[in-house]
Amino acid sequence: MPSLNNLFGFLQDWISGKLSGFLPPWGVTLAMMVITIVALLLFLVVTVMYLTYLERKVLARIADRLGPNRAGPLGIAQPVADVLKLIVKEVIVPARADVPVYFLAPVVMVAPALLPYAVLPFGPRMVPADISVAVLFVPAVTSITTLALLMAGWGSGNKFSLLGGLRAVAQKVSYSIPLLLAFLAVVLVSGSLSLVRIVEAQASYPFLLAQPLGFIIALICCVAEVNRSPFDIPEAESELVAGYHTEYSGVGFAMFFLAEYIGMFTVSAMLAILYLGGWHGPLLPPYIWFLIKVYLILCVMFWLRGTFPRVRVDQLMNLSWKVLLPLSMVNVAVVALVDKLGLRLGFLPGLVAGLVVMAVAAAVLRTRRRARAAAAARPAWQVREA
Amino acid sequence: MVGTGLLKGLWVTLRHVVETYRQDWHKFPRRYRREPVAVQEQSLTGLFTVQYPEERLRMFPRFHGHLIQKRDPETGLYNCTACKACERACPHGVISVEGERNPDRESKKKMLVTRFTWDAGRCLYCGLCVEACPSDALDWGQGYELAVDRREELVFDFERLLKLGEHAT
Repeated sequence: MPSLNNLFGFLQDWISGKLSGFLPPWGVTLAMMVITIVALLLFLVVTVMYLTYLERKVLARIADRLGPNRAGPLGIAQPVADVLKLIVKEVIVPARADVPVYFLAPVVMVAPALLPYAVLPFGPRMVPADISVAVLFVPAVTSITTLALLMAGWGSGNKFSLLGGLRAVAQKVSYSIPLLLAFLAVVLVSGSLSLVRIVEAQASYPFLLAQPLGFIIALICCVAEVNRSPFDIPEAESELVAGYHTEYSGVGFAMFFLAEYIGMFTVSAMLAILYLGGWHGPLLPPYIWFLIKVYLILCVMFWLRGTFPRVRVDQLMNLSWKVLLPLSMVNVAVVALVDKLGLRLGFLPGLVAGLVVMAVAAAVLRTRRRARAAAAARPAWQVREA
Repeated sequence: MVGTGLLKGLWVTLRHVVETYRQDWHKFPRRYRREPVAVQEQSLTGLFTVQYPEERLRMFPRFHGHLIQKRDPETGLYNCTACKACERACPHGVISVEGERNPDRESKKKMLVTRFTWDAGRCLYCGLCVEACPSDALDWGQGYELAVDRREELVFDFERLLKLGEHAT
């Protein structure tokens, strides 16, 4: 099915062919850009609406419930109702708010969340701009949202919001480092910073096999990057009401919500591209395969949310700086070593090395935990003597 | 091993997800289209949700729903003999019974019930009346949708209780 495989390329050619009849070449380019942007935005908004639905359904099943089931058949109209409700809600400005910052924060949140879609390849020929440093570009622009979270926390003029914003900054900064180091290992394996080239390098096997450790690190970091449970301490409702978006209502809140879910989709897409082989897959068209992989990772994120309790702030920081950062550095070193040895064995050396590193790390962590438990079991006076 | 606790937790939640689908499979189309499903049993595994107006739970036998008046299944006559044992047993005076001697001397029923009222609005649902009944006439039904629009409707008369009894069996 060549036409179905290349449906979007065909559409692109057809529309630009029609447009070139009455527009100059630069006009065609401009029109195609606008069409692409509008199409992507529509796709993202609808995706986000139904991601909330999917999330609620998955969480409900985990809790032996049915999930939304009243609005329309199977509750399928629930996201529409939610969006309408958010749009018509009153926008309340707190009395002590820093008004310009307060209103700018949601915008600063959404704009960088949309930027990665300029470079994410949904399939061959389905990437708006194939830039050569896309692996750097995506984390770079998404980390601007950190600023938006701090702005929201500050602008609300509320101590809980400010604490939420500060936590968000600390968390994002801490988890960006192991995340980028994990991505760096993929770059070393594939030999390119372009997302399209990285996907093309995975034609024979997905990098998950060569980078098992890197994938786990990246998955944990991605969940933390988008402030999802169990790392949702910036909006921990039991401690901070709702964190940085406590004071937002109506459209402002909707924009934070939108940005958060777009961010989830972005990191899942990045994981799918870097580790699961992007659009590669048998039988089905490439973009379908890509979406399947993205939704698989999204479901894993919902699964994690439905399973684990929220971590404490100190646990969060310990995990990042004492476990993930050293592990990701070891991972990069091992990948560089394997690369230097130049073994032509496909994914095998990487897989073995990754598993060995994981086993050693688990053993080290276990002995340390045993030592801590033994120290805790001893009476206090003995500990002081020792 | 470090992390086995996490994996164990993930396994538990995954099993719950699978279980909800497994239990649901046989009522697949109806349940998801929100069509009325008959009274159902509550299960300990799988979906806990009962989509109430469409789906109803069957209550357990000891459930104190409302009172019913039973009939003899063979003759079709009601069991109540207007002996007033329930009226005397009731701590709140919620039940009042009046009866008269059956003018038809040949009939098996010696006493006819002329008036039997149960005021559900003031009832304790303690069940002393059911325990006191010597002729297996008064019993609990399993119904639980007893809301009414006017307070007077909370007073159930004999005909209504007999009808509820027919529904229950």
